[in-house]
Amino acid sequence: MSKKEFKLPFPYYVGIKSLDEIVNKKTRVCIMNILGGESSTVTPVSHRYSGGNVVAGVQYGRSGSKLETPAGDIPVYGSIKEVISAGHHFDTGVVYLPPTAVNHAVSELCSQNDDLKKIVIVTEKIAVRDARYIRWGCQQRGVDVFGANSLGIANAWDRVRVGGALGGDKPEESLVKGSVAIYSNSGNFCTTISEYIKTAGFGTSTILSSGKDIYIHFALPEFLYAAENDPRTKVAVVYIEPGGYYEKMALDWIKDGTIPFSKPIVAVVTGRWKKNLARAVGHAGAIAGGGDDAEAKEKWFDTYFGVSEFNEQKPTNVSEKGVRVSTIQDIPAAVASVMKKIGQKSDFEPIGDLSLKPWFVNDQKIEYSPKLIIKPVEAMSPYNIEIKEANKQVGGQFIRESMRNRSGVSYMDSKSQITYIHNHSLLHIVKYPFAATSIFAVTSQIPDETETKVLTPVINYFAAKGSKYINQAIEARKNGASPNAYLAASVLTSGNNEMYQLLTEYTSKLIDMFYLDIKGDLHIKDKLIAEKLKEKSIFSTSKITEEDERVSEYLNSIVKKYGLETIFTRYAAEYNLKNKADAKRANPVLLTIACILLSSAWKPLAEKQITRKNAEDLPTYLALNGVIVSCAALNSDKNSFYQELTALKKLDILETEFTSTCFQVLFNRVPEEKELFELNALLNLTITNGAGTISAKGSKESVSAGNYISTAYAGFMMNTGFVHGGNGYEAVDFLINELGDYDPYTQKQASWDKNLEGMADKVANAYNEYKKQEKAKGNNDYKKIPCTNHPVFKGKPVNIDPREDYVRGLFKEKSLVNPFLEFYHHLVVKLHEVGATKNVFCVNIDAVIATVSLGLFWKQFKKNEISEQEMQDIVFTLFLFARMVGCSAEIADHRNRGTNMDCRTPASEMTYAR
Amino acid sequence: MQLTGLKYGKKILDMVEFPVASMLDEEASHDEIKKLIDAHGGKCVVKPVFQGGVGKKGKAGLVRIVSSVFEAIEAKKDLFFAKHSTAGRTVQANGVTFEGFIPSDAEIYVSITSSTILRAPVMTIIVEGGVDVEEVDEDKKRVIPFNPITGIKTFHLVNALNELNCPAKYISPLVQQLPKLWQAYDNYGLLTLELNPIRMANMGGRFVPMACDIKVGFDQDNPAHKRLGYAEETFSSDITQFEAEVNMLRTYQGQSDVTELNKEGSILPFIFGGGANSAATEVLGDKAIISSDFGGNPPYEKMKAISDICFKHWLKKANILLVIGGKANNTDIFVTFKAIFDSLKENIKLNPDIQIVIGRGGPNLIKGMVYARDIMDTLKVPYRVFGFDSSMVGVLQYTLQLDDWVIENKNKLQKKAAS
Repeated sequence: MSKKEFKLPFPYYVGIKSLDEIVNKKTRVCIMNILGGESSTVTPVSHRYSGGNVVAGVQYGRSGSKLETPAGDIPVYGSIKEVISAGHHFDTGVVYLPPTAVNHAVSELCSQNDDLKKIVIVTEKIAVRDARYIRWGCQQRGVDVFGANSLGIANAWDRVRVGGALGGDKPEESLVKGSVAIYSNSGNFCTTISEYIKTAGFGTSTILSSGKDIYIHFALPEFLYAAENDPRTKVAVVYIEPGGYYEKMALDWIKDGTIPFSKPIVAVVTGRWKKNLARAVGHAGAIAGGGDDAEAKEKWFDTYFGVSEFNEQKPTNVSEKGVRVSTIQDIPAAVASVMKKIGQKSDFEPIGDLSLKPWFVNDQKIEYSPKLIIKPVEAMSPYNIEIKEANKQVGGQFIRESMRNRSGVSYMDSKSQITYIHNHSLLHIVKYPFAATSIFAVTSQIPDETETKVLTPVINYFAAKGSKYINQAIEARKNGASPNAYLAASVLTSGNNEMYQLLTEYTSKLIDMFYLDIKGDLHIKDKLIAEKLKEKSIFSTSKITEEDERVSEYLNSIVKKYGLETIFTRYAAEYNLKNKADAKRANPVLLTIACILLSSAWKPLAEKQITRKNAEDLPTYLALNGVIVSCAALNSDKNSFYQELTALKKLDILETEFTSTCFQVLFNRVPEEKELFELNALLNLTITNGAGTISAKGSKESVSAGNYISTAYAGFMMNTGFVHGGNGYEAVDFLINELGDYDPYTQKQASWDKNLEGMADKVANAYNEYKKQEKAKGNNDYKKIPCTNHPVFKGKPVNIDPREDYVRGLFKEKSLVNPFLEFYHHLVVKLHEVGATKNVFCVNIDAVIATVSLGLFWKQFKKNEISEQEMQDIVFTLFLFARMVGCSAEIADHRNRGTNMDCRTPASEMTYAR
Repeated sequence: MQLTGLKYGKKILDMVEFPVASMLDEEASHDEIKKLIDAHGGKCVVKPVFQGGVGKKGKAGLVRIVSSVFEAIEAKKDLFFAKHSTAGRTVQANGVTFEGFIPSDAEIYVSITSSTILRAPVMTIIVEGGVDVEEVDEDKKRVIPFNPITGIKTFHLVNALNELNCPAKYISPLVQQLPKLWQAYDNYGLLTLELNPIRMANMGGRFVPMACDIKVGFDQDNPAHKRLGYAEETFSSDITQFEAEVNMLRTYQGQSDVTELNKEGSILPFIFGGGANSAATEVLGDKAIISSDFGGNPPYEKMKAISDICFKHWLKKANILLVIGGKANNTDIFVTFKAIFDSLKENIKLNPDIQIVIGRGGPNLIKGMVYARDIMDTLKVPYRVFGFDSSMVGVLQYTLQLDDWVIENKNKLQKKAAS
């Protein structure tokens, strides 16, 4: 292409003479803040598309780094000076820095690189003061500036884009070589207009995103001048917003001959509605003053063109100077008309059209008027393929981010102190069976009563199988290990055992096998099952025992008994039957379990409420719960329930309510109904206290380090101890000491109130004396009575912890009276009456835990059937039973959302304690 | 962010020691008002106090010159809650100022702005105060561009004032004081500064230019204005509660620009991109409850927080939730859609009958659309999702038609929902 001799017509510095000079194959780029969030996403695409035109990047303090791209690594330096010293040459600087740093970066680029010709500023929200300094400095230096708030410049002929992300992540798709130059105040519309004009058979020469700050450094006059001198460009499309006189200057200068310009323009001005705004919305500079609103700008263009607004019904009504369109959708037709007017042909055959083509529609059975009824159409390629692939995506998706001090499953309301898990308050879930809560923690949906009956045998089966690791616990207990330590030993030993692996694999394969065919529908489809049964060899196998067959059949019978057969359970049943003779088949019991659990997780999975990983891991979580529960058995060799459960001879034992299982492994007796209710409430109430507890953090940190689920379980247990979990015994100990020989269970319940009140009076008086003496000694750190008072629920004449109040009320509804809890209520009143407390302290939620625990082992304690050590261990173990459920939710959440090492504390946040 | 009047504007001028007319606010006692009147030749000026930027008060008859305490109090009663309609909106005063009257045979208009014609800061001078700058003939004003590094120089001003036939006795006092305005403009993050009028006070034979009214626009993106220590409510008439909540999320990554357009509107538009913002808001007209620009690749947290606020304020009122934008270059469609639809899921109880129209393109498009689709299916809300190969304006026009239909069939839809 031959170039004319140019005499620059501007009263200020402009270096660009033709659009094809702005960016082309020769352009070499250095990017400031190359490793920042936006650049690190955009630059690799730009670098690949442009054939590797980024010579270097700058990231302050990160010299020696690199940015990986498909076109090779881009070296990163600590300053422009370092870039130049390393021998790199570039003519274009791109600035991605935060607003306050941009002015400085422009100075650095201008002063450190003698070859610099252009700067593209991508950053938005730059102060106007900095913009005028940039203007002044770059005018002095002789550098063209594009932006700020520019998405850069693209040259479709040379396949180069510089600056921002014009064309998005698929630049080839939008940036098609052609004869239209685009100048747009909107970066988005650069790409959108490029797409639109393809429908009329036009591609682009150079696309320039001008930005729309108050200062547009490379504005319409310069653009049109450069378009005139660009032989590739036949027409300019300009998208303009209110505010600023750049367009008037350009048109005035064309009219008076300052700028030679002979090509047509298709202009669109939007923003009439902004006329009455006192401040900018959208682009900072899109705020009109007196005479530069959208209406005024439309008049400038109409006067210049000499024709009125484009009307598609009268496409010939355009002038050789061009035409203004009312909206961007008219641009393709207007470009075609203008081109025809000047005798130019389209660049290629039209691609697609702009008619309404919904890719997804759901009327939800609403009977719309005919003109609104619109059928979905297959998306254009390659989006149609992407949709097909996306439709295979099962379950919810999360954006990975640091989950160090965050949780997607639990939070504590600071006012009420009530903890929520999956948006259910603990008070709400307190009455559900503990088995249901165990499932809910991972699936976020509470199984109903019938479903719980089907799931309970599975959960108990896991407890039975988990007992194989009890020797580690026994050994550790012998050595004085605390419950968290000896149970962690068992859990850790289970590692990622074959059962966990097979259950995960089976679940995963079942999802793949059925999801696309059934979506959210679990109804049995015999034909589909028959079809899937032909694929028998897809599952890994393991040694299959008679017990496996037996339990499998039993579990299947339970499913049928409760009428909860699903396509999965039917598939498992038929698979096991059909392949019974085949040695290389799936393990029947594990396949049945995978199918039962997947049925339970299916609804939230299909509704994207949980991830695929959650569903695949659900059996592992429950199996690990089983390890903890069975290995917690005290004196397991003498525990008849434990023996029967783990023997798996009489399978009816698997229907034992899971709360009862937890009770019986610890107490070696069948619980009374009252005890079962109280224990169930206790366990549910304790499952979580929010993700900030150190037990939850332990599990999250272990996930963050990349561990198996079993190790993350050990992580939560390693973060419990005598002051977190084991401290529950403090209150038990207090009650035992204070109640002395008094045994409420040997007396009639009617007498409790009076007796307990009397006991409370004695304890209150004694405590008041003790407190006075300690204070007299100057000791303000005297012993406090456990389970009374609370940092939030205090200061009123009579204080109530609403959580304790709720549970006590729940007990009363069931006519359950816990004498120890009632004692506490008398005690707080008496403490106030004797003057030991300023007001009536609340009985806090910990009292529920302590008094329920004490109630459970009181009778055995009185009969000397249980030692103090065992009582301590039981209180701690109950805490671990509960928290294993809460932590399974946190582990699942962190595995879904967290990033590797996200729980690490950066060195910069650490302080050195001397 | 704008302010007007001496009650608030005096502070800026005091910072650079530019002379300002004596001023008392509405708390002034009768004695103080009397002293003010006595000290200014028996007159004072009573003006209503508006928050935010409000002009053309004089033309609306909202400036009173009084000569007694009685008249001043009467004027106070009249103006304290005066309503003023300008630039298409009505604002209400909340207070008055009493300003010392400055006898002067000349009034001067001075402003500093950023000129998009000259691409530099400019000072505009008119030796005729109290005027509307757009209505003054070109030959009666001088627009002086100057170097932002050095600021405006006295010779610029002398030349301009001479050309405008400014009385000679005022030239020297003016060129001594006017350059200070650049310091105020440059140091405190101003976008516009207008003194209109400046009156020339005769201080014992020496003339001093006194600012008698001021209008200031601040650059939201320049934190320097915080140095002035204005309380947030100083600008409160500029923004609504909804806008204030969204503005709290303003950071450089991702736009969070909103303006409340019509509380009675029926379409809640989430618009992405400055261009789409202009185009979509124009097409939707009065039906749009808000205008918004959420482009610029906002992170999930920010988009989620914005969505929460929008839904909290408007979901209940809306017939249609519209998510519209062109083919994004950089905004991650999955991230933004996930945030919007996660929030919708949490807030759907506010309006389970909402209908949804989406028109969008950009990175991670299908992942985002499928995510949105799945949630909309779960919530059982009707929807249409258009790709970027459908005209954006076409999608907007379709949305308008759909809204009309929803309004016409509201009873039918409610019955269906109830059943």
